[in-house]
Amino acid sequence: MAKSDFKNVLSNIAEGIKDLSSLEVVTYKGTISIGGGADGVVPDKFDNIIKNAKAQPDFKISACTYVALDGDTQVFYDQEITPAEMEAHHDLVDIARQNRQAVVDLFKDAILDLATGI
Amino acid sequence: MDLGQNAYDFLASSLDEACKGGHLPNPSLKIAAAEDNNSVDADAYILAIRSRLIDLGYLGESKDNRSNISLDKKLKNAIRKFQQEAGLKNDAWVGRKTWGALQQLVGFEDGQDPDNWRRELKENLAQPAILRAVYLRLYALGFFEWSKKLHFRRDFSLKSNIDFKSAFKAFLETARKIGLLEKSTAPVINRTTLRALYQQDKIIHALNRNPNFVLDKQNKKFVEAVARIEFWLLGFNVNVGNPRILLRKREDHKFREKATLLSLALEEFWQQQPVEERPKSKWDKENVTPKFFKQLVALEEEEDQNTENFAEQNLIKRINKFSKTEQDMLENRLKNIATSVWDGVKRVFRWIKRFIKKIKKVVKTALNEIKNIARFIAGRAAEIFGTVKKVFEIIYRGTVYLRKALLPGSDAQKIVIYHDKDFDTAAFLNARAESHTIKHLLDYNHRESVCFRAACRILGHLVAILKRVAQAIIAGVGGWFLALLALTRLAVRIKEIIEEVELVQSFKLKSESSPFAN
Repeated sequence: MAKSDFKNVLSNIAEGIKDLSSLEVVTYKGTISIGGGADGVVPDKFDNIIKNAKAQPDFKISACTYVALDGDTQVFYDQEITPAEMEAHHDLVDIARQNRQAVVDLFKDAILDLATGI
Repeated sequence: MDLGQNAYDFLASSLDEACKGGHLPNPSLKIAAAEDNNSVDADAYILAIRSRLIDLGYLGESKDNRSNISLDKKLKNAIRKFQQEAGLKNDAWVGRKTWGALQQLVGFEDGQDPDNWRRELKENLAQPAILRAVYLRLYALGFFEWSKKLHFRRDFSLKSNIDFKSAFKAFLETARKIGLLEKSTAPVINRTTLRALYQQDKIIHALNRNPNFVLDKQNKKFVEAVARIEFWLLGFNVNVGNPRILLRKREDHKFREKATLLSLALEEFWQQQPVEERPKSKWDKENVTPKFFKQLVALEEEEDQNTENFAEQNLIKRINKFSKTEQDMLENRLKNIATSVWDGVKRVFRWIKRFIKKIKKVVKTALNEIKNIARFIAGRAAEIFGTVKKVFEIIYRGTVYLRKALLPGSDAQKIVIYHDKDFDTAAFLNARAESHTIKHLLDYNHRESVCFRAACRILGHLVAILKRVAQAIIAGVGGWFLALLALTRLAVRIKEIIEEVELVQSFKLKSESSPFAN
């Protein structure tokens, strides 16, 4: 057993709240060139995929959502975005929001409460 | 944001400590890719599985088989065989279904009604695992010769094993005599006959209604076997099955005399009862009599009277009125309960009853509140043990989701989803991908997200528990009660979270790391 497993678990979660000031979700669309290093079934790095896709003529940002700490939201959609792509983007925004809220709640309600309650 | 570093370290260290002590499974062990999935289990869980498999004859009776905490090849083979013979998925993984089936076939505790057995068991009452369980139960109830050692059994067929067939018939006859079965009941293994065989409490009540049967010497073996099971459940030092004889020396006697564990348990039992309830003669105190069953039933009814009047708010006030000695005793006992709860001790419920009786002798105050709380805690013990494995799988799975920047199943030719640790997200949709493949990964993202959020909530509850424990250390005995209560509530809350997870994503105990994995 590792020296401190729960410490690792909580460290991982804690790192997520270093930047709570905003939430950004970007959906890209394009194609990948075969043999360009990112055509495997399971890609290694997201950056490599985007790098490869950017080199193709059809690469574009389909949608981008930016949520500020105070709740202000800015959304950008490509004019040619399909309903399915729009739905996918909304899905991703929704899940990212909920995930972040779960982390905030954990530390707000539990950890800080523990710090002040004993 | 200030994370309260000290508190956070305290939490993590305490959980890690519990892990090292074997009280919690290790969340860092990888589940899906590990060589064997059971490696996430606490030692106590492995031992409990071993014990049940030995009882059913899937593992041989030996010291090593009983005490070995590793999931060795022999154990895995035994698990597989049990699963195969109980209509379960044959994967050598003792998850909720397999554990539930083992408990239901072997346990003597309350709630062992075959009507509530797992579907896999109920669907085929003729399957070999049930025959083994019936054999075991008949043995425990004294329907085999004690000289025929349980661990020598090989043949579990009611057709070819004459002894087994005779024992089953003898039980049915006994059950008819004490009114557990109708005279017309067919001599086959079905729900009716299994109900009669498995419901210990109903057997106790039936014997209470039939004093002449209890007094008849011909029935002594069965009557004593039932008493041994009951004492075992109550936490007395007796064994189920073959009676053990020992030599003891009384203070006022010159020579040692023969005694059985049962007769010693009976003496101890009567000592714990109010003077006016105790039998007058020595013989009545050392033998299983109708009065014994009458007293058992009376105790049970007394226990049930105040179930609804849960009065937590008065509890601490009452405890604070106890003397220092009484408080120390209570605290020590409760610490033991706290440990037992995590260890999944099957006898907790009855043991607490016994403890309450003992403490009543010391503390003259009426302790209905404590009794209710004890019952409350015990009632939740099984839930805790049953859910703890899943809790840690959820935490593990949730943190894998957090740690893996690229969502498993991402494919550059279809869809790739990426998130960082503060959940800024980016997705790449391949223009050539079909919409259903995109939806597939989005659904997976949703399911893993549910798991991650559940893990966060569970961790939050664990923090709350640790806070209770820390307060308990400061507050002394009253605090321990609060800690225990919090522990039991944790089980309830976590169960709710698990149900939520299951509802949303049909989360399986032995889950795949990705829907795309082969």
